[in-house]
Order: sequence, then structure tokens, then C-alpha cells
Amino acid sequence: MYPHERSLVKQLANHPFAIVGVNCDPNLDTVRELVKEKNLTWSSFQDESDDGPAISENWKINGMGTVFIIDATGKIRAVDPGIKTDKVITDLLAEMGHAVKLEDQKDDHAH
Amino acid sequence: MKAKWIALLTCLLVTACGKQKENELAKENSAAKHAIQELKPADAKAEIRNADGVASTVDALSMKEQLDRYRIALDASVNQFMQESTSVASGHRAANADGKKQIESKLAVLRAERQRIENKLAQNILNLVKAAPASQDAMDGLLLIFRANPTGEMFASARELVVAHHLSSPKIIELLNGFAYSNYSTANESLLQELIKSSPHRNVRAHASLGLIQFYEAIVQQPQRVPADQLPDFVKKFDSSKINIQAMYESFVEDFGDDDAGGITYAEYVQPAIFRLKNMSIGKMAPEIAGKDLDGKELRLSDYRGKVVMLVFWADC
Repeated sequence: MYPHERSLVKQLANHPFAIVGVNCDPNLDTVRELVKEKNLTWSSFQDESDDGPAISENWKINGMGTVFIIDATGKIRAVDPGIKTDKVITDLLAEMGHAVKLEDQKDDHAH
Repeated sequence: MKAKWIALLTCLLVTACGKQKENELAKENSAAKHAIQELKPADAKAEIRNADGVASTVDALSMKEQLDRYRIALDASVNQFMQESTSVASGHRAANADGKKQIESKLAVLRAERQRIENKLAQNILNLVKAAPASQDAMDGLLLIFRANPTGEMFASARELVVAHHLSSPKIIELLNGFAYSNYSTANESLLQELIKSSPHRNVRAHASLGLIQFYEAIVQQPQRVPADQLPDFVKKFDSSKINIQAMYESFVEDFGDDDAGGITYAEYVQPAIFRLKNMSIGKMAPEIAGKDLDGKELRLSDYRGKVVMLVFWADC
């Protein structure tokens, strides 16, 4: 999944777009290493708290790789859009007056 | 959260156990291969000669005995695949791009081999149960076929036999387990509807009702899973987007909430799904997340107001 995310962040750098992660790995050191190694430039919440995985528990997430697309007002506009991810994002940017065309992507999101 | 823990656990197991177990696995694998190879159709037949010396072939083993052999072979195939693929995949994380490709192509070979063996088993079982498709043993055989996850045509033949002879069997629950995750098909849908209407077992009706809702939920969320030849029918049904999955779940809880979903009630079982639909479905405001980023700095989801946000729950597995 990382190449797709990296490419989105790069291509949409000048547009109101952000990737926000919720990282569910219990070992923070390993994740920090990975973020460095794979050059993951977006922020991620730590899911682990003293009481176990907090955010994914609150959101009742039932599998890793779950994706939500949220618009500028904070409204959820897509859940697990899969191969439609790019289209959902560019449509929302277009609503905000940011016409942008993304390079074709294979479906990196199959999980 | 179960899926997450299973994913994490698999990760840990793969890394931790990969090497030590290899020898052990090799031994078990050869036993598994042996079990599969032994399973020639000839096993099931024995030649006898009548008084005139004319050969005739009869089944020396009962359907049940033959099915037991197929079951052992199927288990062996699954185990062999799990062990070999776990062992092959164990180097994936450390491998470079070329190494990853090699590992992936090895895995593809293993998957193809598993599919080949299990298709063959499914075909043999299908031929066997066709002789007396209405018997209890035949139903066990048909369920084995679904477990072998055969190609579409064989799946359809097996499903037809179930519909024709075993709609009222309580065992049909086993068949329903994977339905929500299969592609949209009108045949699967009508089977679920038929069971909801006519099964004498409340638990089967509950299971089928839930299966139908999960099935609709999956395809409404991910219409790309609908195969092209099923699309016209799908569009007719769902394009109005009048379909209200949350209301379906709620009426399901009214009807079957107290029934047993394997240790917990169905009401408890579907509670997370209803919660997600109420709070995290399309059109709802995303709940605030206030926490720490990976470096320990304060972070809020609402910091990103004004931007399109792709929120990804991820773990490195």
C-alpha cells in the first residue's frame, strides 16, 4: 500500500489533501524505523494506549487497511473505496475548485 | 478487532517460527503429499468376478467411508498449503524487491497447486454424491465441496444439489459462512432468501438473514465486486440507493437478537456493524480523534478541517 499512498501525497502536494494514518502496531520502535525506511511522510496516530488499541476500538474497525475518505467539512464520503480511491479524492477536490488529474494507479489496496 | 489480532499474530508466528519449524514441516509435508497421492479413484472401487468370471466393478467402500478419505485428503492439502506458504512467506519482509517478487511467484505456484488438488477432490466428491444426492452422507460431501472452494461451475452444481435435496438440513449453516465475502450472484441471493422463508430451523433462518444483510452491505459498499454479467440485475436492485442496511440490521436484531451466534447472541454479534453504520458510514461526521502521533506529539483529526483526508487504519503486516 505504501507506493500508492506516497504517490498520492506527492501528486497532491499543492492541494488541500492529507493522508492521516492510525497505526495499530503494538511496537512503536519498529514502526518508527519503518516510517524512516519507507519514507512515509504523513502523520499517524498511535492506536495503542495503556488500555490497548483505543482508536480502532472506538471506531469498531474490523480489519487493517480500512480506509475512510473525509471531506473538508469532516464528513465521511467513502468507506473502503478500493480501486475507486483516486476518483473519490479527485471528485472531492474538484468540489473545492481544485481540478487535478492523477496518474493511473493499479489497485494497491486489495487486502 | 479479531482480524487485526489474527493478522498480527500471523506476522509474529511467521517471523518467529519460520526457521525452527522448517524441518518439522518438511516431514509433515511429505506425509500430506502421501495422503493426497494415495487418493486415486481406484481406492474406491474393487473388482469382483461373478460365477461366470465376468468382471464387474462395485463400490467396495460406502459413500461415508469414501468421503472420510476425501476429507483427510482435503485437510492434508489445506495443511500442506498453510505450512509451505508460511515457510515461503517468512522471508518476505526482509527481502528486497527482487526477492519479494520471487517469493510472490513461489506463493502463486503453491496457490495454483492447492487449487488443482482441491478442484480434483471436489470433482471426485461431486461424482460420488451424485449417485445418491438426497442422503445425509451426500450433504456432508456437498459441504466438503464448498470447503474445497472449487471453480464456479462445480460450486454451482453442488449448490443446485443442496437446493434440490437439503434445504431443510440444519447443516446448511456451514455453506452460508463464506457467502458475504463472495461476489454478488443472484443464485446465492435466492438461496439465502429461500432459507429465510422456509428453513424449519430458527438458527438457519437467523444465519441466512444475517448472511443476506452482510452480502448487501458488502456490495453496496464495494459495488466493484459485482461481476459484469450480474451488473444489470444489481443496478435494478440497488441503484435507487433506497436500501437501508442499518434498518435491516435493526429488524434482524428484533427477530433473532437472542439466538446463538456461537457463544454470543446475534444482538451482540452485530452491535459493531450497527455502530459503524450509525457513526462511520457515508454522510456521517467523522468522530474526532485526539491522540498522539508516532513521535508522541499531540494530534487531532480536526486539525485537518479544510482538507480532503484519507484516513487509513494500518499495521505493518
